Amino acid sequence: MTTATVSEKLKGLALDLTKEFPRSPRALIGGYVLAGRMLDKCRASLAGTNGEYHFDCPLDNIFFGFSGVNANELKDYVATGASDEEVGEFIKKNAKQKSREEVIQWNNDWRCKTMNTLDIKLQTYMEDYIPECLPEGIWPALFFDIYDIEEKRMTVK
Amino acid sequence: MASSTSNVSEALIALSKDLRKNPPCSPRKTLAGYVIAARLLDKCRSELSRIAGEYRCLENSRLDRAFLDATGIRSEEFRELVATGASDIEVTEWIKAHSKLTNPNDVAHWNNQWRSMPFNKLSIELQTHFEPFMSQQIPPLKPALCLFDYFDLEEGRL
Repeated sequence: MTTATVSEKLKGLALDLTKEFPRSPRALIGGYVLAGRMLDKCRASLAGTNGEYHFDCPLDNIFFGFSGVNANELKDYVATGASDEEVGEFIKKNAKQKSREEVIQWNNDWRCKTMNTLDIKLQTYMEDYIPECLPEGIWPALFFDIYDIEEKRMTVK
Repeated sequence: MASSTSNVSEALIALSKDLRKNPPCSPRKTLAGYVIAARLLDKCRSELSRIAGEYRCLENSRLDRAFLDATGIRSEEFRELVATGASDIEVTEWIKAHSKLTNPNDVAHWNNQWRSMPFNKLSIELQTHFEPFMSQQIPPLKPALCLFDYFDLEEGRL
C-alpha cells in the first residue's frame, strides 16, 4: 500500500474525473503511451476525485508491466505534486528500457493494437463492455479507440 | 544525380508539378498497377525540373525504395526515362517491361501490404522517424492507422 500524502500542489493538478475524462491512452508521459491517462487517474485517486476511474487498473498495468515502474513508488512521487514533466523524468529514470527505440516499438504496438490481437480475457471482457458503453452499432477498429470514442474525443458516424 | 536544367525537356516541364506549392499524389494512387509508383513519378518529374522543394525521390526516399526493392527497377534508369518527358502511359509500359514483380497475385499482395502497413510493422528506423508525428496523433485529431495515412493526413487528403 502507498503511504502517499496529498499535497496542495497535487490537488491543483488533479482532474475531477466525476466531471471530466482522463487523457487519451494515446497521450504520452515520459515518452510512453498509456502513461498520460495513468497519471490523470493517479492524481485523481489521491485527491479523491477519481469517480468510477481506477488507478493501477489492468490498463495501467500494461504500462507498469512493460516499464517496470513500481505503481506505489510512482503514486508516492505523484502525491508530492510533481508536474507532468517531472513525472516523465521519474518514469525515464525508473523504467527498465534502455533505448528509445524499444519504447517507440511498444508505443506503436499499442497504438496499432486491433481487437483480435488483445489477450483473450480482455477480448471477452470487451465483448460486453463495448455494446454497453459505446454508441449502438459501433465496433472500434483499434483498442485505444474504445476509450477515445467512449470519452467523446473521437467522433464516429 | 538530377539532370541540369538545360537538359530538362519541354515535355517534362509540362508534366511536372510544383511540389513547393502542392503535394504529390497519394501513395495509394497506382501506376502500372503498383501503389507508391504514381507518387514516385510525381516527385521524380519535379526533382528533374527542380521544383520538388523538400520532397525526395527514388533512392533518396525510404518509401520509394520499397517500390524499387520490390520491382528491381534501377533508380538511374527510371530517372533517365522520366527526363525524356515520358508520359504516364509510357512510364507505365516501361515499368511493366522492367519490373520483376509481375504475378498479379504478388502485385495485389504487395499493394495491400503497403495499403494497410501499420506503424508497428515498419523498421525501427522508420518508427523512430515518425514518432514525433505519432505522438501528436491524439483525438480529436484523426489518428493515423497506417503509413499511407501519414502522407494523406500531412498533405490534407484525409
